[in-house]
Parts: sequence; C-alpha cells; structure tokens
Amino acid sequence: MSLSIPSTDTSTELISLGLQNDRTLEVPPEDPGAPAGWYNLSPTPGERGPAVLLGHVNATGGGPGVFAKLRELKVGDTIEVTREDGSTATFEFQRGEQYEKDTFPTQEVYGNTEGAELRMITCDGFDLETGLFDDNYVVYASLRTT
Amino acid sequence: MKKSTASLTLAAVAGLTVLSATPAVAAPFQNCEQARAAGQVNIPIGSPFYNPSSDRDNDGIACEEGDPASVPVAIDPAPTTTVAPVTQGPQVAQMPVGGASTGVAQDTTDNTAALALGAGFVLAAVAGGAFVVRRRTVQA
Repeated sequence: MSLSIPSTDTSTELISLGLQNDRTLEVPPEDPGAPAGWYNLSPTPGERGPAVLLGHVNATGGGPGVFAKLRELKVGDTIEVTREDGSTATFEFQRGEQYEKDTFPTQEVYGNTEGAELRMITCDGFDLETGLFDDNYVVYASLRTT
Repeated sequence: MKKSTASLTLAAVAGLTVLSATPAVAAPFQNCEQARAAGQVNIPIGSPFYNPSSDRDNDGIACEEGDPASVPVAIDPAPTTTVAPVTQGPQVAQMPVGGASTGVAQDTTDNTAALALGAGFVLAAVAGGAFVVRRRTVQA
C-alpha cells in the first residue's frame, strides 16, 4: 500500500504496523526517508471506518520525517492511498487537531464512523527543554464519494 | 481480513448451511421413512442422500436403522435468514492505548531558527517541516 499527498509533495510506502506489548501503536523506523505506516487492526483505507496511518514528524539527525508537513494540509487538499489491488482511494482533508498525549481522545480518533475515513497521526508539541514531543497532531480525512 | 471474520461468524450462527457440501440436487426424501421406503438406510456422509439434519447423533450416518421414521431429511431449499443482523462491532479491531510516538527525541542543543510567536509558543522551523513548540513552565 502507498500514500501520496500532492499538496505537500509527500509520497511514501505504507508499512503494516501493529500494537506493542503495552498496546500502544507500533511506529515506523526513525531514520531519514523512513516510510509511514498503516495500523493493521484498523480498516484498510477505503473500507468503512477510520483507517489509522502514522508517520514521524522528524527523523534521527534532525531532519524532516515523512509526515513533517502534515500541519500544512488544509481544506481542499487530498490524500491518495493506493491499495494492494492497485486501486486508489482519494480522501479529502476535513480538519487537523492537536492533542496532548496525556489526554489523547481515543474514541474520537479510533471510534466507528459512518463512512470511510482516514486518521493520520504524527507528533507535535515539541518541548525545547526535553527534546521530546508532547502532543499528537491528527488529520481527519474522508473518502471522496463523487 | 475483517470482512471474512464477520462472515465466518455469521456462518457459525446460521448453522451448517454454508459449511456442509451443497448437493446439486435437493434431497428427494422428506424424512427417513421415505428414505427407507426407497431402500436408503444408514446413509453415509458421502452419499448424495446424506443430510446433516437427519444425522441425529452426528456420526456421519443419516437415517440409521432404529432412527424414528419422522427424522427429516430434506432441508428447506430456500433457507430463511432468521438470524438477526449482526450488529457492527468495532471497526478498529483493537483500540490502541493513546496516540503514537511519532516524534524522534531531539538533542535540544541543535535547535535551528526559532520564531517567537508570543505567549509561550515558539514555532521551530526544522529543515523541511514545521511544528508548534510548547514551552513548558517549570512546576516548582
């Protein structure tokens, strides 16, 4: 599976990710050029429900991660996912939300939806003092039906 | 994937209909009495006359000698789906705990250009991307 965001010139494979032992999401590798991933216990993009995709905002060495430009997405932008069978599903950006990791709204992000949607998750809220990211930035997108 | 799990569950609930071999011709007998009248008794599970509904003890032999004549053989050729629609389960099969650790810990001494935006937030521009920086106040 692969993903393309034309407006930010982002193009990446989507690797399959599961859960870690503590039931938090597995994440892709951290090196520059590492791909984004799809949480394999969420619907495949295009199926009804929220397909969860995640990617790093930055990379080891201080450069950008695959989802570095996720914050730039706005209404009118599209996200295209090419699936295993070669078909492409086009999603339209709805909104982006920043959440503190400590108060992550699990149900809002992972809960059931009427149609086919995307949840693209990356990090945000960089803390200068710790060098860590305190927040997640989540992009909500819906399958284009026309 | 998830869809096939749902359909398997339905099959298990609905009964053997899906899993048992579907004979091309529906069983000609209404019950074991008619089967016996036609010379069919102790019908083994490979026979076109075998039907699981007439295999009372599920041992692979239908219409056994000694079975009551009224044991039905034919199953309803048009099975009515009396199973209530399966209420949809969670679309995300297993809810992750919290969000994602999609940020690589950074050495805070190698910050590049930082723009002060005001009251506690600094927009740090790192080559090629931008993210909002939260300046934490140290709790005494």
